[in-house]
Amino acid sequence: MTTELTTDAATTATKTVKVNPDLDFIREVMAAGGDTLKKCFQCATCSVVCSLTPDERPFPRKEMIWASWGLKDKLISDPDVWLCHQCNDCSVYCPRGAKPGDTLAAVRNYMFKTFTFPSFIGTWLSSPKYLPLVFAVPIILLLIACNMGMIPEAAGHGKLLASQVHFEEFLPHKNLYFVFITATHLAGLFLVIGLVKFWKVLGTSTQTGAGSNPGGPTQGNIGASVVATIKEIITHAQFKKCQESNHRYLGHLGIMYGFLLLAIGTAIEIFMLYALGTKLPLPQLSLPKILGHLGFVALVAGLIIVIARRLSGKENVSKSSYQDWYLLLVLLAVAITGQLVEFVRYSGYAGMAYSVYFVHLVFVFALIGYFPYSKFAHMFYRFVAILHSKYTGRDASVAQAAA
Amino acid sequence: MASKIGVYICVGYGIGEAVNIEELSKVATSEYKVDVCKTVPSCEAEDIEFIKKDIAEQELEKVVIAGPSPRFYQPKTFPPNVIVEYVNLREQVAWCQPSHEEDTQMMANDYLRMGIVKIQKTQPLDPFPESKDINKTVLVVGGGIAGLTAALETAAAGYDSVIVEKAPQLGGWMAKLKKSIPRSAPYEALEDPGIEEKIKQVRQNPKIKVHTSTEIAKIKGAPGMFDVELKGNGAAFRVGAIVQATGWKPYQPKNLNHLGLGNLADVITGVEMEEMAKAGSIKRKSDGKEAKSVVFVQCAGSRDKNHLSYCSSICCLNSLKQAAYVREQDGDAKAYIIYENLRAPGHYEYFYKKMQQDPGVFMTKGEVTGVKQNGGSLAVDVKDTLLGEDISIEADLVVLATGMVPQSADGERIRAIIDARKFLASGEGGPQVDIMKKRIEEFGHHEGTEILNLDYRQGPDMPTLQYGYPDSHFICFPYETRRTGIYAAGAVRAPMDGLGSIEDATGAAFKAIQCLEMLSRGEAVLPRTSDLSYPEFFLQRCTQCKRCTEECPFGTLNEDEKGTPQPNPTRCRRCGICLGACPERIINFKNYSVDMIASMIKAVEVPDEFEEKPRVLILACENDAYPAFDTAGFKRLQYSPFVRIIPVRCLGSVNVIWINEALAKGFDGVMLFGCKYGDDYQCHFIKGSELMNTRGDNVREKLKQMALENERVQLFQVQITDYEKILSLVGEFMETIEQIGMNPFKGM
Repeated sequence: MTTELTTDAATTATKTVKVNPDLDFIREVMAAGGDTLKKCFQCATCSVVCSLTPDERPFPRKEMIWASWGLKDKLISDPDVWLCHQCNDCSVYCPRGAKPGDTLAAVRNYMFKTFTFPSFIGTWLSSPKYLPLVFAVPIILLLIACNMGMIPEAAGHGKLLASQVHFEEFLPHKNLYFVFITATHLAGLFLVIGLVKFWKVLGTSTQTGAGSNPGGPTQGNIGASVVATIKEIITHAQFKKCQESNHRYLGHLGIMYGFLLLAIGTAIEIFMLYALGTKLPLPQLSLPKILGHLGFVALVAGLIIVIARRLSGKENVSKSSYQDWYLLLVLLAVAITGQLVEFVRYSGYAGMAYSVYFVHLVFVFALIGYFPYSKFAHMFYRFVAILHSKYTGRDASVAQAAA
Repeated sequence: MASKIGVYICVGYGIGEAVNIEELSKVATSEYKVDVCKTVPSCEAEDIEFIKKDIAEQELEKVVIAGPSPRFYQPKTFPPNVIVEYVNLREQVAWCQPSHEEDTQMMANDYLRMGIVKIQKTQPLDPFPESKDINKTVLVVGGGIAGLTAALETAAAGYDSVIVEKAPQLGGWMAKLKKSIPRSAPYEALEDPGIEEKIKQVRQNPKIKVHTSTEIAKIKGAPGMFDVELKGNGAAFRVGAIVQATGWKPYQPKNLNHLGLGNLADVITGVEMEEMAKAGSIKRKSDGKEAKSVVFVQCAGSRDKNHLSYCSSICCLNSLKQAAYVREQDGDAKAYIIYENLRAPGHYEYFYKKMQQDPGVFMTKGEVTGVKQNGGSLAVDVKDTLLGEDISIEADLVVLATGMVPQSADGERIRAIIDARKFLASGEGGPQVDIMKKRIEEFGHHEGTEILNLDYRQGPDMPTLQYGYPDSHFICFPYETRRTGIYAAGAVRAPMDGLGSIEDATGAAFKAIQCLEMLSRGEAVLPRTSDLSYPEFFLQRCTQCKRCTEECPFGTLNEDEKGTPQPNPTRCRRCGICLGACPERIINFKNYSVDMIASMIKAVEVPDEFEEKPRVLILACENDAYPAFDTAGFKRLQYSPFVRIIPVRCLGSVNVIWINEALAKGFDGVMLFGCKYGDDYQCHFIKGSELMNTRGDNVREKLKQMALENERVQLFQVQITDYEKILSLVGEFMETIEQIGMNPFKGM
């Protein structure tokens, strides 16, 4: 009996951990939308009302005290930060106005620059004061890339037929590809490096690592984990459980599928262009055009839902951060300018099409040129974090509960 | 010459239906042959007017009104020269007994008999003679924020006051603070303590006299006539009332070795932290380096049975304030607060919230298990934290938030030592010697702590409760103490902050003034407010047993060398505990006497054994138990018709002779209803019911002599809300009586 007790005591004794709050981290998270995080007094209402948290070591209560104590290492290695879909049930029910939903969103925003090299680009994307710089880069690059001789014509609003508009001549595709392929490939490379770092860091988490909820069907099986993760994302299965702001689920679904349709349409177009040698512009009833228009409708509808809710203040107690607005507005600008290019081209004022085309490309760069550093990267980080938590058995209980 | 007595029987409220009024009137007219006996339809304003007119026309001196409970009437309705007695036929007969029953009628008849006998024995009241000579100056002991406020408030009400302060300057703890916690909306910003302004106002006020660097040598006399003598300057003057605002001292936690106080240079108390902050910057004591990481340990030696058992209520706020100092000094500094429960009462919650918002303030529940030197800094180990694991924090300074200890002196203990020393000096032997030696050893630390130096038989200062705070019923009677005319205010009364002390001192000053005004009219202060009666001592028959001087909860009586009590009506609260204590029955009030209650008991008609109608006497404390019986009636709850209830001033005022009389008369049992006693007593007079309980030995002795069962006399502790419990106790008691049978002394 005595031995047993001793063993018990030895195994249950927790290790003392040195804590050293990172004041700058607190300030940055507060600036990135988590300004209320210090109001938390650890009542755990948030974890109780959350529909998404696992039962064991639930979030977001523990994340709140880590944030208010500036324990950066714990937070950036915590997959739970990404299991949160910011339903804001927690923020609505928080008796102190600490808004855990906003705090976790702010931590997520903070993480892009933490993991993606070079971090100064992340800094550019984190504050509106760098906005001129963010846009100056694509403007300069694209100006260099385009056919200078055509600028007066593009600016001159000359009246042309749609078939007389040759974007290729205004901005040669090889130049365009050079700018975009270089930028996105570099960004992609940095993203992959960042994600690998992120995966490794997730593995160091003592709080939420393997074995929190052992025994799930995906634990230890990377293939099954990937399938389960993709399934969850495609169906928005977790997002759907949100109660207080379920419209966000619909809005997000529209944006995601709209974006996917546009991406697929573009891929097919490129395939037709180079593999099949099809001439531009494509007819309206071609597959890329149909997909593109459908995608445009879904994307803009989703954006309108989300933006309108945020503007009307009905986004419950949540506050929109700069990164939220950057992504939403850049997406909207890409969609609208993209559609405008087509309209203007057919409108008879096609001379203006060059200008709109230019503007559209600047926004496209703002979206995908910086993607590992802006909120755009959330899809990759969230994918990795969900995958990790499925692989380690962290969210097994959620998966089982859902099933 | 017998006074002219009138009896008015109210027939309203269902009384007329419950009992036969004609039969009841016969008790007054035939048995007691009162001068006037009339019925009134109810006891509303017009009926009272009719009675008042009739009193004048008939030239009545004493009037019995049989109707609602005495608690129904407004005080001072009738002219002061008329003695009025109320018989409770409504709540305690008509509303709790069946109508037209013989037993109900007998009950009403008995209550009327008791009422008439009581008024026959009541004499007119005159204010005590000392009331003509009441000094109206207030002595304020202590010149901190509470004392200064008490003096200023007293002066503002137009009364003179004298401040006596031990230290060379006024201001107390407030003058030692760098900043005060927020005292006004929005309760977020630290404030200037503002004590200089108060000191200036006191110094400039012609109604306030100030003695600094002075202590009290002696206070003789009684409220309204305290003669004060000071040490040092030897000043002597007379005051009427005293506000004791002697404040607090910091608790010195011993046996908290794991927190390093005394061993590690950089472990300090909150008081030391304040001194350091006021002097300039917050530094490590060890090497003078600016402190960039400060850990506050809450409840260091508080809410711990090995140290202070209580919460001092300000330590959490003080640490929040000092955390603000740390953060103001350096924007990158960190302040940690480790608490058991962080307490920011009332509006201070806003201050807590404000501090919580500071990115450099870190709070968690937790237990500090150790503080160790770790190179130049300290390592603070904390377990059971909100972070979900045990943590270690690197700190430049550790501040222990220690609690407040009242600057009071335990008068009872000091007196015990004085008496023990006297006894040992007398050279008397016997087993007492060891007891006295033990007492000196146990209470030794109280020696030399006197503050007021009162010339009271029961000790030179106020009796204190277990935590050293002056005893007082803090909910019912704040500021009141067990010494009439002496009021405690500020941190000596209860742990509190500056704002609380200001409020407290204002209340205490008002209490002191109220006391002086009431004394000058010959009236008692709380809880028998405005009572003109006072105990009178027939000293020719005193046997110097000292029971009255020992038992008075308010230290009213001093003794001469022989041990004869020396009455002090201005110290008295009129509870009657002395009357209950006196075996010679020589202490009586004009309207409450041993003979009076005994006669009332004798006036009850006790049926003989064969009628099988037992009788149980209930002596009920008028403050709680009696109103509880009224409430039972109000709720129309029925109980035994065999009980006869007599209200008493306090259960401590019950003289054992009354119980003996009742048993001799043939009552089958006596129920004594008093208030809860012990450390968390509820007795208005501190220990009345407890004293009655100890007198139970005498009662049992008497029962043994009469060969009666112990169960026939029982004491119950109840409170005003216990009306249901009281009735079940009555029911159980009646069953007990049925089991043990009738009192064999009936009809003897």
